[in-house]
Amino acid sequence: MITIKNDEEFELMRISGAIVGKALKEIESYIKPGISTLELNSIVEDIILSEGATPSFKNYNGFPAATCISIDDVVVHGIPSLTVLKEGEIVSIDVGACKNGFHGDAARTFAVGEISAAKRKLIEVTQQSFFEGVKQIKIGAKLGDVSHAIQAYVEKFGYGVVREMVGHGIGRRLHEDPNVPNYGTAGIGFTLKKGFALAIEPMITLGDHHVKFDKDGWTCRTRDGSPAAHYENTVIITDKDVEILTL
Amino acid sequence: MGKLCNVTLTKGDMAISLMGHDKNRYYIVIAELSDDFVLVADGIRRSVDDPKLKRRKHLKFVCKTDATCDDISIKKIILLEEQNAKRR
Repeated sequence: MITIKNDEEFELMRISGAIVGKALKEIESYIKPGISTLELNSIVEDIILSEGATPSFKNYNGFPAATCISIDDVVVHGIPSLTVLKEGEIVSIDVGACKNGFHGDAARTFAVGEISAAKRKLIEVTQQSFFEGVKQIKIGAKLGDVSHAIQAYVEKFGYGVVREMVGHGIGRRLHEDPNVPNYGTAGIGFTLKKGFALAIEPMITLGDHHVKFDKDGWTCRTRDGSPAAHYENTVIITDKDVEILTL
Repeated sequence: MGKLCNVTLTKGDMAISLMGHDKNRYYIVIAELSDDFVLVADGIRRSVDDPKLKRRKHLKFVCKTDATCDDISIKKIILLEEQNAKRR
């Protein structure tokens, strides 16, 4: 069931969204070769707690950390560990924060030192695909319009769009209806209405789009070992326009 | 945090056992019997001729594969995945 939020609820979601946005901005300066993903996780967790919020992901369906940190071929849901970042890798950091009972959710992919031109392009295309999707959001449009715009933009570059993982509605719960796939047909799906809050998150691979899951049940990596990028923001639909809460 | 789509296990999918004495063992789905059950094989302990009946809820999707329904193909894919898992 899709929950429609009112203006007061949107106001609370703006607060959570701002905390997530702040955490992602601050963590960027720490991304360098030699830092472990566990250290990055602690820094983000401290930022969230210092804002009086709680990390949305910690213990969510058993997830053990405050952030998902995914290196290179890990698409999403990488579990922070003692693994250190190395020059030339790309790292995706996914952050969720809950304050006043409402969640915010966003992710960015960062370069570790100097990276190859191919990886840089992948990050750029993934980020831009999110905005191509957002351009389609208006009251009365279909969810398929958003999905299709993301897929069409990404596949122009020969990249893969992950099918097994999707974006989602967000609000009092981290994962709400509807699912927001990054692939699909324009003109089909739910009609977008005022009061929707969505986490739109293209997960894009440099190679084939197929993924597999590690034995930990979380880590989702590309089957062919190609690098993957992730870009996500929480978006709300108000009566005037579309607002991105986590920038 | 990306949401996992409801992946319904279909023929050719690799899955990991979540319950039973074979917990943590990889299998390939070789047939869908009903909404609750599938037949799985690993080409080693359970061959295509002697597949294992598993409840869908006791399996977790790992990935789609191009395994054909023969023991050699299934065994090759399962061993490769086990080696990769050990390396990780």
